[in-house]
Amino acid sequence: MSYKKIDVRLLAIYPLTGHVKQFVLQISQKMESTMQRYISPINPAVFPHLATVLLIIGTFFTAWFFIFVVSRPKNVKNEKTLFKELAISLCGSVFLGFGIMFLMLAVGIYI
Amino acid sequence: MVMVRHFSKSLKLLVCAFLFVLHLQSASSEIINKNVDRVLDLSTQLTKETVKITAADDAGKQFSKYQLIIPTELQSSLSYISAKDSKKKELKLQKEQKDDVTYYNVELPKAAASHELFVDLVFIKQLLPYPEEIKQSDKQLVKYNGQLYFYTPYKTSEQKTQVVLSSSNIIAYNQTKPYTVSGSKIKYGPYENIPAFNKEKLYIHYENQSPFMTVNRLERTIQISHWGNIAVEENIQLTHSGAKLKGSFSRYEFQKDTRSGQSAIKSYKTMLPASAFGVYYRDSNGNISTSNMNVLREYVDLELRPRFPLFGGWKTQYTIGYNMPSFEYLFSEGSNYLLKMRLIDHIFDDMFIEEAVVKIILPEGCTGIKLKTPYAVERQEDGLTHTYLDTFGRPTITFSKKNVVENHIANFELTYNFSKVLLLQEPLLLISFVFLIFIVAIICKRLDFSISSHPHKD
Repeated sequence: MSYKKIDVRLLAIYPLTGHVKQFVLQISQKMESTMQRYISPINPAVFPHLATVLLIIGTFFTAWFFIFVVSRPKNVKNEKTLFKELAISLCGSVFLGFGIMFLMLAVGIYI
Repeated sequence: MVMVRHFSKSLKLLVCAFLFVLHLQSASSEIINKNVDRVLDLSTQLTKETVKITAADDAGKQFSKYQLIIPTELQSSLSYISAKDSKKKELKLQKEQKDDVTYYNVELPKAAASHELFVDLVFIKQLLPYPEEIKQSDKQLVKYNGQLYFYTPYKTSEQKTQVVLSSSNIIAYNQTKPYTVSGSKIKYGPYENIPAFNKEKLYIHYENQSPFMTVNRLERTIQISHWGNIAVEENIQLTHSGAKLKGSFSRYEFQKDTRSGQSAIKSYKTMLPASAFGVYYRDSNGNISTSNMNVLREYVDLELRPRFPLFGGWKTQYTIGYNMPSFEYLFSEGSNYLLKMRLIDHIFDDMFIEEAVVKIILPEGCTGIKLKTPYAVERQEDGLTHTYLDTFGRPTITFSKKNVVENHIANFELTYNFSKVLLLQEPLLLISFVFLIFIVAIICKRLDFSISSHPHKD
């Protein structure tokens, strides 16, 4: 039994990050005539870095949110600060959400 | 008038006679096998038969149909059959059941007076250990019960059979003259003018120490992630299907004497695709540390050593998993996707799988799923799999195939539709979950949980 392979040079441009990477594939099958090889929208090599950066930013927003909530003067009307609280928490959750997802991808939970 | 009637009568007779002669002629014209060259490889646990047939019509008529036939008693042990023409091009085989005999109709590409055919046959469970039980230090002997002549519905003018065995230790074999034995090879023939449907038996009793391993059940799960990964996991149940171990197992003797445990399986090699990474080998106890991985140019070579040497009748169970980048097997065009990868992969050399179940898990929200397999499989009902960050479950395609050998390693094709926007479903789920925690914090801050009003309230 043998894996008979041919070398295929593939230039991949990741759509979201614009990374250009050149692969030399050893594959046993010919490329489909009309179909392109499917690559991830983001280079898997940057998953760990992306996770770190996004989680740091997300943690910063979370910290800001809690400091803001705790240190809020008591006599200020609740409704005045509500909008700012929601804005900070939304930013925090977006960064944390993407951060957690890339963390999962980086550790090998392919969702 | 009488004359004319008489004439027409004689004309009728003439025509009848002419037709009769024609009929006779067509009956006398038949296909015969001019030459049959057979190689019977019995050196492993499988019976691999390669037959080169030169078939011709004895009246020189052109024909484009040829029939292969499998003896009834061998029908259940036939695992793989294929026919190729002289240019090694795969020919179409059509299975036909007549009474309890199975015919395979070969469609030849064009009509000719003579054809050359290459037929590959793989039989399973045809080599039976004899004696059925051996001691730890004994050699494994097996017996082969098969056909001395190539079983065919046509007459054969000349035929030769070469039997390749695993060792020169041959205890008994058919001595139908002419034959020659040299080392681990037996050459039978040339035999001449063998009638059709000849079922002369071939019996060989010899030493075969090659691993007799049966995969009772293979569960192969392929999980596609559109973040650029294909994860493969194989659950394998393995039995040593050779001669059973008689008496108890002595670890001392096994370690001390190199000749001890010759029929036992200590380790074997699995080949993974070249791009495999993140390989794991474990069982229900956890990681099995006795494995070696070599990344070669064309494949990844995995040397697996079970937790204990496998003796006859012993079983083991383990899981192998690995990841591969999606660009190896996944193709796309707009929102149409094509997954083209191996239905089953190599487990060990000359493997035999009793039942293989393949499960393909696609990303959530895939539609229009179409499966194309290289051979007939038993498709089971499509289901849903629930894993990380799923809402309604991932579409799962399951199919199974019985009696699989190495020749069945071939690509399947699965096409489906998937909208790229659905990639954002998982992060949105996480974002909304984190946001919900923030909202709860905001609400809690606004609620007053104090039991009594504070005395220093300002």
